Amino acid sequence: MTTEPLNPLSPRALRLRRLRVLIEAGLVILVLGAGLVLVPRFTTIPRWAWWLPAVVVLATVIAWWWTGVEFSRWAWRLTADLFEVRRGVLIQRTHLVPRSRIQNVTTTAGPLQRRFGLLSLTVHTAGARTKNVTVDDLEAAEADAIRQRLGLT
Amino acid sequence: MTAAPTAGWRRLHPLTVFKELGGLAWAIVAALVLDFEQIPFPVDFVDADVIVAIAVFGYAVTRYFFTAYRITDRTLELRRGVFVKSLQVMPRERVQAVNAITGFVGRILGVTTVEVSAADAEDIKLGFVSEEEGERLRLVLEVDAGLADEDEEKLPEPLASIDPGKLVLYGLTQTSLAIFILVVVGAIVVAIVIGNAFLPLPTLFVAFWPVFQTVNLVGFRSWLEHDRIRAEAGVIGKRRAESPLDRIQVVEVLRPPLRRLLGYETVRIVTGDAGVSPESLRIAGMVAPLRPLGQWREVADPLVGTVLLDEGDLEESSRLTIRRAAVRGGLLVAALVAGAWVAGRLVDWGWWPALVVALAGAVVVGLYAVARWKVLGWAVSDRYLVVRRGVVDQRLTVTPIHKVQDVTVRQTFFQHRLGIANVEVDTAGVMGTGRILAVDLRVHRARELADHLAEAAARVALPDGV
Repeated sequence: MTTEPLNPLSPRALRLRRLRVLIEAGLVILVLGAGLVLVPRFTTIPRWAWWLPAVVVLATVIAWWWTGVEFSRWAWRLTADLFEVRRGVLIQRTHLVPRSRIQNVTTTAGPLQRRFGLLSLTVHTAGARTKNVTVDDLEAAEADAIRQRLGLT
Repeated sequence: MTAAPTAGWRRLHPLTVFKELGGLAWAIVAALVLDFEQIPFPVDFVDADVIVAIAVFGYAVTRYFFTAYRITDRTLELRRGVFVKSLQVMPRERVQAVNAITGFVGRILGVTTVEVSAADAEDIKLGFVSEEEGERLRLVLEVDAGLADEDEEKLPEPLASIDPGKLVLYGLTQTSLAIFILVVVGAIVVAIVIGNAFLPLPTLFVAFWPVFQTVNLVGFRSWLEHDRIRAEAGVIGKRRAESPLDRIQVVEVLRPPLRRLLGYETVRIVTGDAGVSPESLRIAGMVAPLRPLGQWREVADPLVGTVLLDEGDLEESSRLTIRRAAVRGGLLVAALVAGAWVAGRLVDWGWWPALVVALAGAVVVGLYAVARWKVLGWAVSDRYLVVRRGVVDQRLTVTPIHKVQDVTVRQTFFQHRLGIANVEVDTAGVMGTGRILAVDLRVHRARELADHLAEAAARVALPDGV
């Protein structure tokens, strides 16, 4: 059995994910606002439509909270034998990948992730069903360390 | 421009032109549809359709002359194409299987198609070639793959075979046949209700699949040869399939309900080959179509080594799985009861239908939940994982642990509350019919199993990880 502790994601990852929530909410509010301004010029809008902004705000609050819950479940570790990733709230998954079965490791970083110095690291196996195991929003330094340690095997 | 084969390049059999014509059938159909007769044609003494026919035939012949193959010291190469040229090169050391497929017409004309497959590469299909050339290719390339048999004349002891009576039994116990009967009966009922006698006719086509599955196994036998499992089937056109034993990812034991009731089971293997041709796929993986129930080890042991685990060794899943199955079934019954209640109101039968559905549903769900728990089981040793599941379509999988690619412990919300979890194992095996899944273990047992599997797999380093 391994005794190495599980690593949580960095707090920056949580900030990034919440920023994404805000950006998405902002876009929805923008579209909604445009609709509420423009549509009355052509036709009357039903009265319940004025509740939509409140619904969006409520949904944003829930998403903000949920992002935190989900974030706290993410964890990973690299032991002498295994790469382990834990994730999921409603459906909780623990992936165990034997290091000798790792075919290749890829990292990707979107523009927002780069701003935060984060990236997503994916470990590929020859498995026919799972194919790959991803850790989203890892610190770039951590990802480099993982890559280096995997390269040493 | 010349396309004469040089430096060992050989052409295929001239009859290949007709195969090329088959591939150009779309051009002929297009010509008929467009109806060139309608188009004013400058040379009015020649029928436009004749021109099209000559052009198509000419193109087929040209394609034939542009197609050539050769075997060099290290590679098998196939080049083809008039406008778009392609060159397929397969290293001879990577050759995994050589299949010669001779159809009914081919047998009369003395030609055959040779399919050469390698792991992770597209098959090279050489066809048609003459039967002698096919035999030569097979011998040369099989030596590469280290699978040539010195004493080919001596028929090896079969691992399994199936006689016509058993084959009928196999066909009748296919799950797809039961589905077919259900579909047809359903269609007949609907036809009677709406008074349309022709409605059930199209559903008869569903019979294609079970018949196809069964007919493909006429004359089936499988045998071991050196380090490979080979199988062949067919009366008029023989199909052959083979796989190196060390490429077997999983051995599956299938027990469809009827077959199980009559005391039989089916043993198949799952391999990682991604380039199996549809032609050999029809029998690929089949090892023993019909075996006496519970005797899978007699077939599995020669394939993956002595498993040493038996069904008596299976550890039960947590009893809490009964509760989980009951809740899931209960939700379904609740939906059905609601439907029955609405239907009862509509036809003025009151709440009787809902009551009947609720009682029957409760009994069925209760029986199902207990039966499911009794079926679920898993056993693990240092080298093998055996998992059984499925109330109706029961299946048992035997996985050599060194074939494990990754392991996932999975808990849904309800499983989390009950403290149970599934363990799913992934191998490089493709085209398997089911997942390798140990269902509803106590969460600490699930974690122990997953750790054991992943760590045991990590200790065995395979040359290519597969």
